[in-house]
Amino acid sequence: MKRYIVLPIIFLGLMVSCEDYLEFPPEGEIPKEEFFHTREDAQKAVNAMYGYLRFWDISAFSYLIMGSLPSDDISKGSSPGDGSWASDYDNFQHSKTQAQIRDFWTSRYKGINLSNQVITHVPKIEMDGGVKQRMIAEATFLRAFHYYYLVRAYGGVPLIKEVPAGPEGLVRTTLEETWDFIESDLNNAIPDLPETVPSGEFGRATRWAAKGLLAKVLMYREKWAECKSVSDDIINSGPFDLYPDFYQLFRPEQEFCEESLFEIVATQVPGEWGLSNSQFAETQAVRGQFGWGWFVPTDEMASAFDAAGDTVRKKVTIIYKGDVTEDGDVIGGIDVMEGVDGAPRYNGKVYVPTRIERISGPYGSDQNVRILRFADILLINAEAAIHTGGDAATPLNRVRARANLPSIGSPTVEDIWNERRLELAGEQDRYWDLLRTGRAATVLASYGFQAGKHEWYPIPQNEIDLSGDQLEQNPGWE
Amino acid sequence: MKKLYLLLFFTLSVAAGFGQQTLQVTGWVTDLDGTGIPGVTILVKGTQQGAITDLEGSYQISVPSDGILLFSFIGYATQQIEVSGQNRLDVQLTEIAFDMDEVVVIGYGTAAVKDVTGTISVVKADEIASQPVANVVQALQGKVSGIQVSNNGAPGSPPTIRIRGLGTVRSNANPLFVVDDVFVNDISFLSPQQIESVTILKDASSAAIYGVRAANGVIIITTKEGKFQKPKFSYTGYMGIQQVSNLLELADKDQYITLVNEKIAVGEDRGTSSTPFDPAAYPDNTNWYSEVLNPATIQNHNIGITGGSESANYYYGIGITSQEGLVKNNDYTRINLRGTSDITINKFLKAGYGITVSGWKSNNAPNVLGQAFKAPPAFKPKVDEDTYTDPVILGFGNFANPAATIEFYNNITQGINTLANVYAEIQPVEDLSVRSSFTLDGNYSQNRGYTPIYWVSVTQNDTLSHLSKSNSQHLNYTFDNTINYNKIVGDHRMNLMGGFSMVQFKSQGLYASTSRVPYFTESTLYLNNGSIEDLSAGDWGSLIRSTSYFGRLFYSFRDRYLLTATFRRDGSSTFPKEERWGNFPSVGVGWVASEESFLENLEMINFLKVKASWGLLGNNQIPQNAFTVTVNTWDGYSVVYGPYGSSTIHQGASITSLVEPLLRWEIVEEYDAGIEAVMMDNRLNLDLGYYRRMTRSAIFPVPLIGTAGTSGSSYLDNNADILNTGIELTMNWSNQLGERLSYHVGGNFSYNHNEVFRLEPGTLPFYDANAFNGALATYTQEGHPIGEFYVLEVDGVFQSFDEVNSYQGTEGNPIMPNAVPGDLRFVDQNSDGIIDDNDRIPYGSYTPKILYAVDMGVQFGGFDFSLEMHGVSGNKIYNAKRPNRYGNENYDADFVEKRWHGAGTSDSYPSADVAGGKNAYPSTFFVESGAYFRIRNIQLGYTLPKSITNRISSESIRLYISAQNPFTTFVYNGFSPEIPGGIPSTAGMDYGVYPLSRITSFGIALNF
Repeated sequence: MKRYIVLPIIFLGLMVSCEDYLEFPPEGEIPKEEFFHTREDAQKAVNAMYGYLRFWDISAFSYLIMGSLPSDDISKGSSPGDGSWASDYDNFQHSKTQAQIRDFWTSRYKGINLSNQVITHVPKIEMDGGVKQRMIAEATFLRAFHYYYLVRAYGGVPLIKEVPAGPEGLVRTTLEETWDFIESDLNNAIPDLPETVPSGEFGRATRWAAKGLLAKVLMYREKWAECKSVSDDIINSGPFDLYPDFYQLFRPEQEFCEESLFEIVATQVPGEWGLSNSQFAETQAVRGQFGWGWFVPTDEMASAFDAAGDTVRKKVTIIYKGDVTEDGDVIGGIDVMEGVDGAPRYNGKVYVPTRIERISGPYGSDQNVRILRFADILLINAEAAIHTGGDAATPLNRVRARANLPSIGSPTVEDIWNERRLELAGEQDRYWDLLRTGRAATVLASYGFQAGKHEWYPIPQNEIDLSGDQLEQNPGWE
Repeated sequence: MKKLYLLLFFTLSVAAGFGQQTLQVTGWVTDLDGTGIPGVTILVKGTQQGAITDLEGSYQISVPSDGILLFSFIGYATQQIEVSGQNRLDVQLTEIAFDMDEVVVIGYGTAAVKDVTGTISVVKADEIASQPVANVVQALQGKVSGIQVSNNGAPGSPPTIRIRGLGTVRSNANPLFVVDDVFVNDISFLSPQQIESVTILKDASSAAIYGVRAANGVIIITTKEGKFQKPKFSYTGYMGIQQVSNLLELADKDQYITLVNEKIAVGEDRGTSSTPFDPAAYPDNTNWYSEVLNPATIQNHNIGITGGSESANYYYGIGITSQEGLVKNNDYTRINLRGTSDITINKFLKAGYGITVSGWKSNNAPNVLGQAFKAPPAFKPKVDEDTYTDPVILGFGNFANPAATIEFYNNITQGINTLANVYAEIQPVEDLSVRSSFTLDGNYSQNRGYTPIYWVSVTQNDTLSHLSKSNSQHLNYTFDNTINYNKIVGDHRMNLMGGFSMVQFKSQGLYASTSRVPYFTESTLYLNNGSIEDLSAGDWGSLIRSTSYFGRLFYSFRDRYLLTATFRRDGSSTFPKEERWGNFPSVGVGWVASEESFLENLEMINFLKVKASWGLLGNNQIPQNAFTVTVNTWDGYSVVYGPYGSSTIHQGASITSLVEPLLRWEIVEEYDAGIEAVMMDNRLNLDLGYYRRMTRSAIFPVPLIGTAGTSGSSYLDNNADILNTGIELTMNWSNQLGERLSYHVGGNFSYNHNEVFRLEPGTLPFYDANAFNGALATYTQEGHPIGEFYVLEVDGVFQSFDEVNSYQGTEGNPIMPNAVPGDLRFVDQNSDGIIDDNDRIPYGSYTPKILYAVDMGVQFGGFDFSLEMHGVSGNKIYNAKRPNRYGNENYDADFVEKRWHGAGTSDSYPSADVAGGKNAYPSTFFVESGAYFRIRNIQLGYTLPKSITNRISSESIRLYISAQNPFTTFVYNGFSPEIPGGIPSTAGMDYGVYPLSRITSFGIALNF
């Protein structure tokens, strides 16, 4: 009988080893402590900043909705009834509780977090100084890039400069402080960014990308003299030129061509759906044929081309049902489009020909988001020239010449604004430009734009609630 | 029960033979049919002397010649017989309906019903086995008070079960399943026919012995085991036909085109013009439900061999279940093997094993019901024998052809599950036993999906063919060690149990996919035959361990005053080191009033117990690894730099979660009180209970401010209290009228109140459940039920533009300026002149307030008849099928009938433009009653007379016909008001559920 006593003894023994039994690292995950030790870790964190730029909120819905729907050039499109709520942005009926308002805000701060991870942690990693400085400069550039979207949409915003974010996330800075921070980030990044990158690194920021963004920022701030000198520098010292064929410019083969300063790189890779996923082109593509058919050109945009006698750019920018593209695709899809009288039409700049095989990811996953191209720089330079008494005609007419339009001898600022509209149509520039130049209240009045309110988007109500009402609402939205 | 019984056997047989002035009495104990009952306890009244009947039911005992013998057996009325000098006494025992001496399984042991101080319910084999269901949980519907079962019509898919409401928001809300002492997450692999009993531990004091896993209630499943009886062979089987119950009617082609044209006309009002459809141009009229659904068969066959002697018992069983789905090409087959044996080696040592092996295969159904609901009826499935109709070119929109979806869907899941247990039990001294048990729970399953190269339309095609495979496996073990001590001293009866347990859950999975895999037969579907370029793979794993100490004290004084106290200390690897251990005590008291002298002689009352209990439970089924901040390596963060055509992947990774939450398990504290009574000569059984169950430190998402830059918009914290409180009543009446006729009538009723009782400051209520295009339909907030629908109130439909313009705010501005006639009119609750989220109102949740059931049965001679009914009420469903429209989706018939189509036609249903304007915003229009009443089962059986069955050496033969779910009534516009699945805050969203079936079946039960 005594031998049976062994059993309870075994189980007393087991009790002792319990703590060890329960202690083990999480299965299948890398704990935070194991990261940011090596150059490889740093590189991964840098890659993540670029990879994130393809994400839904950054490059697709909230980006396209807030960046283009309220303008006179782009309408919701798609089938009647499909996402009718988005028409609220077309009609200035959007509210401060609307999801896109918040997505736009949070997505940019997610991007800022990825930059700040690099800016905060990479300096402590031991590695080659030049490589390290470049990584930090890239992070700094992309941080400025995200704040540039925030400041145009909301005005002065909370400035998060490192991780983890502290109470500074609860308080708005002034408009000037935010712009100043963007400018200083860009100025800090410029010296450490490479002049050019090898083709295998296309998509990573160069010094010229930062200078280009700086020029645009200076234009928004109406610092015309500085704007002129930065854009002059790009034009005179940079390796840029206009790509001659406006149709081909927007096809995947011309990504990172001589006209490109900065693009969000998107590439399909077989079998890699997460990596291939980019819905920038899909959401705008021909509905019922390629994609969702949202964010379509309006008749107003078409008229603007017609008024300028601009057939080259109109043909590339607006594709109608029934058109045959240069690549031989017949534009098909739906017959009826919400809010559109007549033939359904689409943004031709994001059309990806069917010869581009769809391997993985949604339609058009190879289409980069063109953020900054040389034509934009020329027009920035022209506008700065007008304000500084320089030569506006030369840069303006370079852009017009490609579109087969006659030169303008002594252009007015309105000429340049109109040229921006036509050249950059469908590239999410028009609405911000109308706000920048103060024309929105007049141009968009018939759509419901209220002066004193719609100059800014509302701070997302949810964010104000979460800040304990410390975040201040924009005027007219309280 | 077996353990207790063997204990008795030893003590009693030892004690026998010590009588004085004795007489040797022999006899035979039988039931009313004249079959011998083995294992009947015979006790000489007033002594400890006794005997037990053998396998034939015979016994032998020494008794004083003027002694009195007591014959008792579980489930039968105890008989008292004076010996009066006779030396042969044959006894016939009669069954009683409500036996308080019956022994039921509780956690780590058993207890007599009369001794239980908590609230438990038991459902026995015969209530389960004859129901045509593949999963035992389905058979519990309506059987037990306080339990909500939401069936899933898809074969092989487990139903959703909730015990006493809903106590969690973000964690797993499923109860713990304990199969033969082992924790199991899913019991789909078990055959209902191999189950002996199901015990549901509802209150905290009974469930607390399972500590940190018990917060959602515990369902203990005991599989069949050998018994002390002669070898017995049994066959049970049924075959049946399933048909769709409550088919949802859709618009036919003419109605459809009428409504689509009405929608186009409304579009004109909104400033969109398009050409109406001409009905004459579309000759076809297809009912898509008829195309994708078909009547289906279900069958089940089981063989069991069982028996036992003093030294060993055994059970071997094999079963096969095969169920076709109502959706075409959908089926589920499962084979179950079970073998178990217990061996008594000597007085001190007993050992045994039990193995359950189950293999299953499922041809899965595509998500076609939503497609069939939406597809225009104006085209036929096929243009000709070989070609499916392209719905897109017809101009209605990008619809899928549901018939083609079924044809080209090829998705199989198959797997094997093994539960193997060995144990040894020693009894070093009298009254004390030590048991050690080790169980392995292994599972391997594989899913394979294949899409061939095909083309139906531009949106429904695969030009490459795709193959994906995923394997998952788990290998869990449970090592349980318990000590049991029983003692009876005079009026004091006590039982002490202590134990220690170690459990590991380890699972892993691997998945891979590629394209361009050719199809010749199923045998060519291997990744190696496809594109190497497109091959992608990944894997995952999880590991959870826990160690626990537990104990229970039961004490009874004169069978009158009862005390049960339990304690469990759990350590779980799910939590950070500092927060790993939790203590879960409970206590229950009972007063068996019927044992008191002042009630003892009251004829009316046979048994009366008043009980109350308290306990703490935990829920550790919280999101995994939530306490460690990990590096986000999702491949979305990777990037390919370079010009078009580049392919070098640059891996991305970063830290995207910034808050380190220190999460603990959720704690449930529950008070429970009740009365149990058996009255009127053992004919009426009544059980009334009250509970107040509070989940403390419930996990609730805390929204994160966007500027934190985290990838998630919230983190989890223990910061809410959730209350469920209710009453439960069960009544059963059972009566025998003469020898040939007996009947019973029973029923149960439960009421539950669910609410988020309190939120910590800083915690915000949250929206959830996608209603349409990102608009969320539920809102979980303090003082309201979890996942309550929170919607705009519709107070009518705009009949004209005049009405739109005159619907003005206090400042004279139109409240809904863009509305057109036929649009829903929302109430501006806060009178601020605009309609937004601030105008929403609470409008009910999916958690029912009331559950009820009634059942009755009659037995007359060889015939038996039973009828079971049940229902739920006080719950709501969000009919998300209706607003989910992107174009010309089809309409349901109810909508067609009641829609607005011109001034004065409707003031409650909108125009056909359901998704236009703001009509699709979450509103009261889409929230419908989830109440239903169902006849769950009607069964008519006939047991052949002994005279016939004996001729073929059979003990019994019963034939029966049964109708499962023959009738259900509800007002909800869908297939079924049972919406399974969804996390608590999204429950009750109907995007198109699998229909439920009405099953007519024929069955046989044979015993040899």
